[in-house]
Amino acid sequence: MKANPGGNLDPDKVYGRDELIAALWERLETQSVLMNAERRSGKTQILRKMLVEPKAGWKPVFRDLERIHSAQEFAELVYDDIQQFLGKGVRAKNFLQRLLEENETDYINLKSRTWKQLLITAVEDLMKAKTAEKLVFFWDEVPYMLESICRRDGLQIAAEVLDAIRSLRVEQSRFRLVFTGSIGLHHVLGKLSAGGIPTSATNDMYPVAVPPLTLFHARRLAADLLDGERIASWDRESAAELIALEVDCFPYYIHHVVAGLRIEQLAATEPNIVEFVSRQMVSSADPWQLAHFRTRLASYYPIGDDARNATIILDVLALTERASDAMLVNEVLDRSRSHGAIVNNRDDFVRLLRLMDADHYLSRDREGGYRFRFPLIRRWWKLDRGL
Amino acid sequence: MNHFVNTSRDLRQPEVGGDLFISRFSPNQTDPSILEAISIGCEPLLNNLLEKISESATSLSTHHVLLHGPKGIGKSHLLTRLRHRIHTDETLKESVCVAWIHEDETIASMPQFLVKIYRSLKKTYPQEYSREWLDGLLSQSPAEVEEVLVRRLISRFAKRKMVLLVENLDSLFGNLGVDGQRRLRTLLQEHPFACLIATSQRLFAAVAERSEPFFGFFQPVPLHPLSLDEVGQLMVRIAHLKGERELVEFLGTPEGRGRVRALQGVLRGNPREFIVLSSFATREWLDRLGSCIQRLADELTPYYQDRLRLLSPLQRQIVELLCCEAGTLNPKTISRRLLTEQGSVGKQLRLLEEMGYVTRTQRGREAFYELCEPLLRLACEVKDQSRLGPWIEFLQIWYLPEVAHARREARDRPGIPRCERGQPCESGRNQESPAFVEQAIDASPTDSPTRFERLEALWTMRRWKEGFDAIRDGLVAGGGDYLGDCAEMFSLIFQLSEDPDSLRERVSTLVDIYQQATADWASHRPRSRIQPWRHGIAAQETAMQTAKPASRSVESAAWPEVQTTLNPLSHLANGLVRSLGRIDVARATRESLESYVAAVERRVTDMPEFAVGLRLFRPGVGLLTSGSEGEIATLIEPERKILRQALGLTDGVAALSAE
Ligand SMILES: Nc1ncnc2c1ncn2[C@@H]1O[C@H](COP(=O)(O)OP(=O)(O)O)[C@@H](O)[C@H]1O
Ligand SMILES: [Mg+2]
Repeated sequence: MKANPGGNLDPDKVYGRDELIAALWERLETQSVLMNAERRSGKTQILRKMLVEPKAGWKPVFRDLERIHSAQEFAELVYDDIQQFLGKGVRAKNFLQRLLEENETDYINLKSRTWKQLLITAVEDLMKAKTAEKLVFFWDEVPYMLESICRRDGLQIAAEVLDAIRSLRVEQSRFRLVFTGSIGLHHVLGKLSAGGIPTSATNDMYPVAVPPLTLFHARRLAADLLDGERIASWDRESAAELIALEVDCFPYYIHHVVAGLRIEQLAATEPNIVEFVSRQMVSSADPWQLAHFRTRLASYYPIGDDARNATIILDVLALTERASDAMLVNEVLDRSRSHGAIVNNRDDFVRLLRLMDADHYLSRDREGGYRFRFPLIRRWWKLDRGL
Repeated sequence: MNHFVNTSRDLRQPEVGGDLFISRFSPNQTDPSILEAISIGCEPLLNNLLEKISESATSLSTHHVLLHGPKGIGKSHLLTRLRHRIHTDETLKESVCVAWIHEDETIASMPQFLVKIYRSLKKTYPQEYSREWLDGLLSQSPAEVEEVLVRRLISRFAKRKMVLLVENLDSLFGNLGVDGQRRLRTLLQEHPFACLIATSQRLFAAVAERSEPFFGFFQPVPLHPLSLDEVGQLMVRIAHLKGERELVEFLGTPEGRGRVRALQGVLRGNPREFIVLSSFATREWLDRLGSCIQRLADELTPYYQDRLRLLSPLQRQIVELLCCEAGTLNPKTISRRLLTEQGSVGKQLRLLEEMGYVTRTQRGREAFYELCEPLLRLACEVKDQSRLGPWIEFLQIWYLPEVAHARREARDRPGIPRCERGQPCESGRNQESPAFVEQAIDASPTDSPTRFERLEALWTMRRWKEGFDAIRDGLVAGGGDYLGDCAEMFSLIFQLSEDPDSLRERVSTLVDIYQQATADWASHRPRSRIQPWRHGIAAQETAMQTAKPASRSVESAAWPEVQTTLNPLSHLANGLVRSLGRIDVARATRESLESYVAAVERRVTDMPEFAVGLRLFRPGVGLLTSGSEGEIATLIEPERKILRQALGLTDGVAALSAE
């Protein structure tokens, strides 16, 4: 198997996701799912594997929604897909045609009316039909679409789209959705509520995180890639383990390291592996774009001193002795203050910590202590900030 | 491993003067078997790509690769070979189709992109794709064209994979805009039927920024300039193909390798330039490095001019300014010189960097810019070699085989008492001198190197005047073939001088001696043997141009002497830079180094032979004392490389100490 950082994988080459996938199918029996994880963490590969190897009784339809700009485009897409599912692909086109022509005179309302009508019609059709299989839409990159709709059609319409999707869901037990997003949906929802349109449209969806692989699977992935690329090593198993550990078992980075060893014609020795990973972290070209974790703070946390405080919180947590050391809220608060954080209100501080959890900076242990979610990011943060 | 061309291969072996067609700008126009024969070093990468494509052909995987590197580094060359390999591979040619979007195709939108893909497929697989169908389609609206073509391609590639070669991906993505990029990515995600093997001059935001649609989509693969060995191999292979036996032999000698190193110092291992150069290179051309590079620049001038024409007026001005500048410039200086707002200069610099005209070095927050391609200078300067000339001369000497620079080991000889570096020595208190020092002094040497050897012994004994006499002697006896270990002279003077005044005086005397030698030679030798730069390379150039044609006997007649003539002062200037590597920073004081620099600057400023050496000297001392690359940010990269070599820093070490 060839190292393939960034491309699509054959379902056989998607490692270590079987349990997660089984759990997802299980969950879909009762609920739709919201899958939120950083870019390149393996969301799409999970969906594609589910698409190619669906569970019996399900008909998945995969759509990448990032190209969708308006409620209208979105509704047309959903309508088409549902008609397709129902085996009425041709009729869909006719209906669309008719709809557009009928409304020609009423151009101003055309968009807002027709997209809703379309969705309603689609759902009605779906409810009427007695299909053998249940339909599940895999909608990749939903937040991008919502952002585009916010820009083009306005916040109001975006909220309405979300609500319409929600009504699609509740009225139909034979129909499920999987949303994925690499920018948290909560940012879009936050934008909506900041614009005075709070929505609970996704509250009934089950949130699923996409964790890195377990060490077991990460090691296997690395070992198989080393084999596939015929990379020399004294001890393949320990080389594979080292690669897995160096990149926190992120499959994407495992592919990267092995691909890099191959391109640079390096053997998989400890110094080569360690040096390669460090080089990615300190290189001014920032090949893994880790600087994004710093630069986006300002846009992620635009309120008051949040962005500055977030930086300080990360500094504080990067300075614990071990990456696994967690710190309780009060201690984080005290230390942050002594590092210059301006906190007037403990609640605001807690809110910020929660947000940083949702954005994958931090994670919380059972006792409520916070730490960096990913040691890899912590290591980079220390290097980047010269701590 | 030796990569000599296997001459038993079925290759055209043109006669001397025949035309071996190796297109410099469109490798896809060149016979692939010739490309194979002159290809150096990309075999492993090519295999890697083929393996990725094979895997994609036989599974649901798709691989995407972005090959990035400056112009002329060999991107199209690699794609041409890749396509050739696919088409000649029994299994691959059945299971994948290749579409190629070339460098010169401007594409402004998704529908146009799809049409180009279709056309390219039509060209390679005329049976399977129909022009009439496409022409019919084109009467529809762009949105419909896009929709229909997408469907068509998806159904065509339900069982097969497409290998989509896209050159200049950065400009394609720029033209598609975020919206077009999203549509393209959606297509490739929903229907993974294509492997993109793309090229660009560098990694650019649309593939490298986390917020962009194509973030992390491609495996980035940097293409590197040819290493010294590879440059040598390339030249040997082409010389072989051309039947230039003598050149092949010369390239194998230490001198030949020195010449290649010097060339590499100017051209930075850009294969395109070496291919052009090899197309006219003979042994004689290589001996006159200056003329050789001038000729190369001439050949490439139309190409550079074309590229300059593409620039906006301000961009062009910036490039021209950098052409006239010896070192790097920061945006502030550029904007002042051009009487333009710093903001717009900064913006244009970023664009120029993206387009591959300039590169940047950071010193802390400050950025310094220089030209990517040194030869662009020549195209801009219109035959004024005032900058590049001395530089080439410097390099030519710098890379002479070791013998000419002589005797480093002398300083490590045990038993010669030394003062602490940079500490004044109590003169007069005569350290007891080992017998062999006396011997060295008293010997009446016959050959030139031994004469120079007495120098160290003499100076160590504080017999300065006799030492200087020994140098004079040596220069006369050497008759121009041996000019002494100037680095050692400088470093001895620096180490042994008691105070700034005597240091200054001795530096001055040393320069006097070499200046005199240079003047003597100029009057005693035929003009043609004097270094070209001082007497105008243009004249020589014309001489060579007329001598060039088909028969080499004509050329040889014009250049009966192939021996390199050394200009003593240039040699001394080289030694000055080299002396940096012999300073023990741990023991030299800041003040002593400062007076060394001052002494040198005072004496050699305005001497053309020292133009390069002096420019490198002060920053070199800075690099030496601080270990930080920031100290040399005002120098252009080839100069920075020289200093790293002088100080024995590998690039890696220097980068680390810059952190
Ligand atoms: N389970 C996995 N096994 C092996 N490699 C994986 C796995 N998941 C992701 N990858 C690697 O990570 C890359 C990005 O995965 P992808 O699912 O496309 O990320 P995203 O979360 O952005 O959708 C893939 O191209 C592959 O290299
Ligand atoms: Mg994805």
